[in-house]
Amino acid sequence: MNFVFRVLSYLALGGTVLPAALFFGDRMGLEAVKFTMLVCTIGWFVTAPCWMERREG
Amino acid sequence: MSNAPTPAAPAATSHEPVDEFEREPVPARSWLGLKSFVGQYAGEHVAGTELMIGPLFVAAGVSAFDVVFGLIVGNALAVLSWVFLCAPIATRMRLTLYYQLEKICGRHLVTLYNLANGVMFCFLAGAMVTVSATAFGVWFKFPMPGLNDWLPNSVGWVVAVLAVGALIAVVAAYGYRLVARFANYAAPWMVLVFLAYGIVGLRQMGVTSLGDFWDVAQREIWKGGEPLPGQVKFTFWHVMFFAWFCNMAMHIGMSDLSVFRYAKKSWYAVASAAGMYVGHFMAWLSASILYALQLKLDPTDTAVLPGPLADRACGLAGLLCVIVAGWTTANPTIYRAGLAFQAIVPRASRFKVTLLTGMLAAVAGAFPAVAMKLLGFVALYGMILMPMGAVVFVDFWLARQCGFTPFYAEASGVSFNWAAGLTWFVTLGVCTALVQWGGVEIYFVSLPGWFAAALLYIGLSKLLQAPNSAEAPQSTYR
Repeated sequence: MNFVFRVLSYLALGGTVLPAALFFGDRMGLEAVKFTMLVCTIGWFVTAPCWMERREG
Repeated sequence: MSNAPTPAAPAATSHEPVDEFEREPVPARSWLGLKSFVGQYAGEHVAGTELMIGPLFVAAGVSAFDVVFGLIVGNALAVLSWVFLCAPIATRMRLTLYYQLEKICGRHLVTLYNLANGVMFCFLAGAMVTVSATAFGVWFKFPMPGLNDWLPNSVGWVVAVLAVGALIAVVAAYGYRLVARFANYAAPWMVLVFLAYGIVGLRQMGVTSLGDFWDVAQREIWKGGEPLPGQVKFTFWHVMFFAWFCNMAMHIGMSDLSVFRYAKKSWYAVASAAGMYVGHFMAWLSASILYALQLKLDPTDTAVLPGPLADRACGLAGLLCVIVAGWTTANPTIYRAGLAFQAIVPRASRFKVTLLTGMLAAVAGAFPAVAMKLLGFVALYGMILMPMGAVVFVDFWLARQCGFTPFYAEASGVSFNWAAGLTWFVTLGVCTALVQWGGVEIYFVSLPGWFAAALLYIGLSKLLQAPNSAEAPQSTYR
């Protein structure tokens, strides 16, 4: 389970910056960037504590 | 800027060991590897204040070459200061700055140092509260302060700042460790949101490929020329010295003795480069790109308000980053300021002192003067604490060679080492006079100030220490 949370959180973290890169390459509109960043932000804060908490133990 | 530890403060984030070895050298079993310091510095130097500093560079009329290369060189000098000035003493003594200063200066002078540190931390926390409050202005649409405002300009602004400040103060007093944990989760996310600010901002400025960057940077972003009204013109030297000295209290001022006393090797201080080049390079440039975009869209809109800047680029996620960046860095700053004040009034409860300190920071945050003049304030902060760094350096490396007793307060039992005290006061007096009446800008005064403080401490120690009055306590020296 720890592994799953870790993978999900890294995906969310990547999803925080990837939309900006796609916007830079004209592959995504600004509103979609803002929405995706928000979803990924929520994803990070939901999943990261699940494994970071244990690691800090 | 950073929320690095004040010497009297035992804890910062959960990266840092808590309440340990405050009055003894850190034992070998507790030494830490390089990785611990990389994470700590990268996290600490992406703070709410970065969102003010970047735009203020643009307002200061800096050119692209000056800002990019000034930051590269200045940050390198800051890293070298950690590596060659601070860490070698930290890994030899393995004491907190507070305890080392107490041995040199005596308890009463350290109390005075704590008071100065606490007051500066209060104002810094105030600037962080200001940053967070600007995010609420986007939602509630109250008038927010302009670039040259010193006083609050609307009831809505005052209410927002006081509400944010009170919330941060209560949380700092009650749940400091909870926020410290939250700050750890937030750190990697914040770094990437700052990067996203820059990438989105660049595209909106018209950069379509990496090849365009330098051309657009020179023409549209950091154009050089005259600064905005009320701002000081920044050149390469201003940027370089600012980047070098904005954390002066921590490296040359030796506050980070408390951090690197845990390092296995002194060269682990190179980890500070992670903080410098992520926070004080990427984050500052990203924030300044957002401000340049605002000026491009409306040249009359010169207000430096991180909330609207972040909202335009990254929407709600960007706004959340503004709030989190301000909150997670104001929290330990208020906590540390409270600890510094509590050391002066030990019988007062930590809860009440922290709460009061937080409210003081909130009131300071309502006045935009600190945030809007952050470049000057940060330079002042370094200048005030720098002389004590010179005292620690000279006492450690040069005392015996120069013929005076190191750790004089401990050796002689005095509670106020006048050689150290006068070094501090005279250096500050001369530096202040040079800035006020001598035509020297505050960004440049601290370098000669350090050498003056070092020479003063040598001279005053030889003059004021009674001959053969005290032997250095061998057990604790090197």
